[in-house]
Amino acid sequence: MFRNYLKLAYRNIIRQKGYSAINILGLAIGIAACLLILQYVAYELSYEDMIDNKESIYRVNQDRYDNGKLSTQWASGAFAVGNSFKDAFPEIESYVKIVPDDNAVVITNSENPLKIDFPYFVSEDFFKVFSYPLISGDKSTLLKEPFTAAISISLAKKIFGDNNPIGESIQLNKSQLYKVTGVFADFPANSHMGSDLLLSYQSFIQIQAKYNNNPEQAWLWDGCITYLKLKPGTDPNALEKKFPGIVEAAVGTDLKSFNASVTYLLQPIKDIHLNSNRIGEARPTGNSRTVYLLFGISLFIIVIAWINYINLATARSINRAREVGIRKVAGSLRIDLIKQFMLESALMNAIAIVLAFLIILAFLPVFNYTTNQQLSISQLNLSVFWTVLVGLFIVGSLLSGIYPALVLSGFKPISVLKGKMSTSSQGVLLRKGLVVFQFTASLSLLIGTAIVYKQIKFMKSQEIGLTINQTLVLKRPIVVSDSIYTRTQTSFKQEISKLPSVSGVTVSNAIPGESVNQNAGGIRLITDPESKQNQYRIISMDYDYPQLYGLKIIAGKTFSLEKGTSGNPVLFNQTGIKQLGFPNPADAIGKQIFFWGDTMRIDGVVADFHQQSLQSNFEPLILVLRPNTRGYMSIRMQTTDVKSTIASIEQKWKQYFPGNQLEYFFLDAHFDAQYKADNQFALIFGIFTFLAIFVACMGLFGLASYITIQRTKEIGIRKVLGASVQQIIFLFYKELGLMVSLSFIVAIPLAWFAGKKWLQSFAFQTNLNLLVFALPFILIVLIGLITISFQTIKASLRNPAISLRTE
Amino acid sequence: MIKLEHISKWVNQGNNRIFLLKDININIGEGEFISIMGPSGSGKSTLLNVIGMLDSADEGSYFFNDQPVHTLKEKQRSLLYKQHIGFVFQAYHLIDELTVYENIETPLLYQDTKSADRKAMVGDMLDRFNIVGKKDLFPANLSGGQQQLVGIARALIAKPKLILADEPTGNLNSKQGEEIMEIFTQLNKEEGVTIIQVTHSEKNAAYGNRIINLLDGRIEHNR
Repeated sequence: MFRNYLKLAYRNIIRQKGYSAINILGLAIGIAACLLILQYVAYELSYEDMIDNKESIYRVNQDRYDNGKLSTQWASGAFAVGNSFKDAFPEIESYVKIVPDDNAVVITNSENPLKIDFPYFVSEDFFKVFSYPLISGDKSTLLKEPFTAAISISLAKKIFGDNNPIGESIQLNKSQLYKVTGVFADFPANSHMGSDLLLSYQSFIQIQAKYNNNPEQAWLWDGCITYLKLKPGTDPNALEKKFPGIVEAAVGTDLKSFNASVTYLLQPIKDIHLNSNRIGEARPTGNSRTVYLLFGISLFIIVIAWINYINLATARSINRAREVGIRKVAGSLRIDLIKQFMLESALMNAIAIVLAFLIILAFLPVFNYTTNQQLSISQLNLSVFWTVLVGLFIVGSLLSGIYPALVLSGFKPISVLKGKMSTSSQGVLLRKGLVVFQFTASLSLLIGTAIVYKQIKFMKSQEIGLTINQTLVLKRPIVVSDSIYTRTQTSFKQEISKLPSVSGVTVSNAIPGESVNQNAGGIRLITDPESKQNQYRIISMDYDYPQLYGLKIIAGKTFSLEKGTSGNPVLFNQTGIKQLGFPNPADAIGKQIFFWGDTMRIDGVVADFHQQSLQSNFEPLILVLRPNTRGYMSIRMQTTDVKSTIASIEQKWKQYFPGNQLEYFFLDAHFDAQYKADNQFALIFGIFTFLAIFVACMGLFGLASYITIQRTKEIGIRKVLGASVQQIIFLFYKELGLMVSLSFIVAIPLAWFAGKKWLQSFAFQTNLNLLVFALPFILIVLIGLITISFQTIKASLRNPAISLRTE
Repeated sequence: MIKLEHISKWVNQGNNRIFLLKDININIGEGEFISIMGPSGSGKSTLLNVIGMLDSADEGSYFFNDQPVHTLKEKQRSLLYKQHIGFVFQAYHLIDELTVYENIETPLLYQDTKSADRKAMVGDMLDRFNIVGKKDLFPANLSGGQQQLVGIARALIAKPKLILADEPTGNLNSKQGEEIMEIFTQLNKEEGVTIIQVTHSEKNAAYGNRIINLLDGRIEHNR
């Protein structure tokens, strides 16, 4: 019996080539898209999965309040948090402190100097709390002693080749030596932290002791990421509620005098990647919105493919009604027929899965290239892969098969065998409803794509309030002796300025396109009480910065070397001066502020400019004049002969900063790179929208061909009664137009809501005008019309004498 | 074998009740060969469908081998007719996607006959109707007469006691029609299969041993 069904299903698939192709290709595209996206989603959800006991490990986040308002949210907190909490609360098993060093270091005693971008100082329990695999080294003593280090296996290979690194020393920036006591496997990509170089936290303590700092007791000094491992059975919420007591006892009075407060919150490490975007993240985090949106899209595509199957199977049910009748007369029970039709849908789905494999194999490189993912067949998360595959197969076979099976098996033999079959209005209505759903999904996706592209275009086209083109930026040299740094930098800057193609040079500790890393609290007007102080982001710069970057002065004056600027002048941006309490910027000029023990004078106010992409809002900024500041060197140059200019710069660099690699980039590209993730998202969104529409159109095409065949008689009669070809075609177009319009009405609020939600993550949002909705609508109408036109026009041109005779 | 008592069937059109069958009383014994005749719309096919349990009456009782069919559930009815009744249609109604062999085999599949038995039974049928050479062809490759032979073979495969034939020769030329009638007669005489056929043709009706004439849903003359 089973074999008979299988054979029949096979013959049906072969015989109805067009029908089968539409179904199988649609299903295959849907399954392939689902598999790819779910693979990506699974990867994004897999962060920290490799860590044992991840459920009991929490990061201590810090929320900072100034004047009663939440001002900043930090991934890091005060240095004293870890040890103080551990001492106070027995439910804490152990703690780990991580101090990421923003400055890169260079290992100078290897054959070639090696630059490490983000070294961490980590406390001794690091490898006990986080089960990252150690390749060599003793967990119990690792990173306990000052000036010991653990390095990644890839770094070890680079420095020591095949030699055993344990016990060897590495020298950082030609000064401090660290003894290597452990080698660990490279941090996995799906971890929220990662570095090739881990230095013992005790080293940090010793270094700070030279400046009379004791991090272990520092409650007003931020920048240390703290992790707590809780004992089994500990309720993190209950523990969290006890933190304020400790904070109050330690720094309550201080904070109160600033009218500030801090709250420490526990975040499960598993949540960090997708649900945290705080200042000082150890690595850039992901975006849960993107993940869920993509997940939704993949569902849309597969559902559209299933609908194709249901629609086509029921639409052509008339063709198979006779078979149902015969089988029933031959003694088949309804359940037998249901089994038979379900088997057919299962076979169809199975073939689609094989095809989906081939599609993935063929398009994975393209997918990886366009989306900058590194998925590969061998790396596929197999458990996810098979679960999804089997899940899609079972759900797909059932969902797409059950309705047609019920409809078909329900036919009454005498009516179908007598040819009295008529399409039930209920079935037609359902089919139309499903097509409306497909259009709604397609339209929503298309409107979504339009919104995403419009937002990106908006962000890129907006005036950022800074001149960033024709600007070459040099990263600062790392291996330089402190005592001569200022002199060397000044001379180098002068040399560069002299180059004929260079029109300006400036040094600053921050450049556009990056967040300002220096944050200063405790800033207030000198006449204000301590309780009115607030937090600002600080950019230190030399005289040339405001002019080179084209900052617009809206009150007061800028720094000027020629006219001379005495004292400690600072500039505020508009947002900053408002926060200080001056709605009218001109009123603030000449006022003095208290800044970390110094008094500074407000010389001018600049218009707000976009330090970062338009995703971020304007922050309160203070631009501080520090001609000796260290950091980036921005060079404004003619772009006619870039190569030779850079060569000249490199030659001077080697002369002034020997032993340092020249690292440079163009600022406009650097700024645009902030939109990389958005561009990728738009591209992925666009690709899958296209696929969804394509699959939906295939279904529409198939449906149109069945419907026109079924309406051949009607068309013939209408023509005999005098209808023109145009009138017949219009008849079909009108129906399609109605369905698309109905979809449009459903899709507008859906897409509008989702679009608004997505836009919320941007500080500066494009407006959703009529065009964003109208264009997709027109596009879908056109695509739909073209799709049905093949069949419709053919049918309407047919000679009625022939079509009526065949009835 | 078949006993119909006061069988009526109707459809309601507005306030009017239109009778398709009205107060039909028939007794058919085992081994009879009955022809049902009458003009178009007289209810011949409806009567045949009621007897074949494909349709049910609105009123009256129907006993098949003393079993009250009118009280049976659909599943039991289906069980009953698949054991005892074979159908032959005017339009043959073969399944286009199945070969001759497979078409004949189909009823056995629904009776859970073992594979080896099925093979033997289908083989017998092919032999009997001289269509062994055509067993792997699809219906589209056969002439009308050959298709009807396959249809009859399929109706007979499950060894039914009763064959119901709805204008079995309606789509055939007279020579092919005669062949089919010969087969029916032979089945009736030699194997004792009860046959009820609906026909327009006096000539075909004459093959039977009794004719039931229908007019407007009533039995007009019971000879």
